[in-house]
Amino acid sequence: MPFAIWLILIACTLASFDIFERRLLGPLSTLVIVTIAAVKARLVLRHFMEAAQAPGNWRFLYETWIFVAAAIIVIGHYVALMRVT
Amino acid sequence: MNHPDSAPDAPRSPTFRHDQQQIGTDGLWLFVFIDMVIFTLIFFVFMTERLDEYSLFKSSQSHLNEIFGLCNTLVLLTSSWLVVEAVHAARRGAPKIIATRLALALVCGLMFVASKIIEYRAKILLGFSPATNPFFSFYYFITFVHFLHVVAGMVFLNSYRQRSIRCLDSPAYTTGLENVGVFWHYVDVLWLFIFPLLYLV
Repeated sequence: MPFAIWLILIACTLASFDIFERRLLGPLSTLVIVTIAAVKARLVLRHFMEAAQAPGNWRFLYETWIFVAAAIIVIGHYVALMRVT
Repeated sequence: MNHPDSAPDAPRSPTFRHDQQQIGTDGLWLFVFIDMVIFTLIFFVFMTERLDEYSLFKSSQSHLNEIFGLCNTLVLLTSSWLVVEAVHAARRGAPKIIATRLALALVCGLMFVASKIIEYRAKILLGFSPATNPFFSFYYFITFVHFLHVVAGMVFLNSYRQRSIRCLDSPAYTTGLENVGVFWHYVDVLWLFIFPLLYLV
């Protein structure tokens, strides 16, 4: 159901944008916004790229990449915050 | 069979690929993965530089308009969905559906390009160039490299749109379109991270 996935992706995008615009979660917002981005990336990977049928181990490596990219942003952000305060 | 109008949308032939086959080719998945690793390094260097100049990065970021980022995200997600529809149409041998879905995906791509040009122009008119400070160097570099990915993807989408009739007699067409799809979805996924990295975090 690509259309249902698309709807979820759009809803997630608007939700994370709302969290950002209204500063809903304070310092936690970065963690939530980046986590939502990673969940969206995983949805695209599994349902749009159909990575389950990818040759070899690409699905595993791509999922790992999503985790690493999200971790770099989250860890980098909170380390910076700790340094400032 | 050679004229697009004479080709019905649901014929089957023995040359069709089976759905259970693998998606795309190994080489394309490898190519995209190499690109992913390069972007991981760019993200890492950005976050490391940001550690040392946190206040500069935050104050520069406040000059970006996140509405552009939001629109870019919505447009790319929509185009990704349209490309999935085109790939599924190729597997069941429906060239007209492929052509319309890819055309709509290209319209989304053009909207992305237009939005980027408007955004760059607005930033430059405000006096923010790649030489202004490290944040804007990263901003222009990352978004421009991503922009080139979008343009490259559009060239491939257009080439497959023009040859959509080939899905009826060539399994290679469907595999090729899957490759284009994987690349296009990757460009989308990349933006899903670039948007929070530059605009939101």
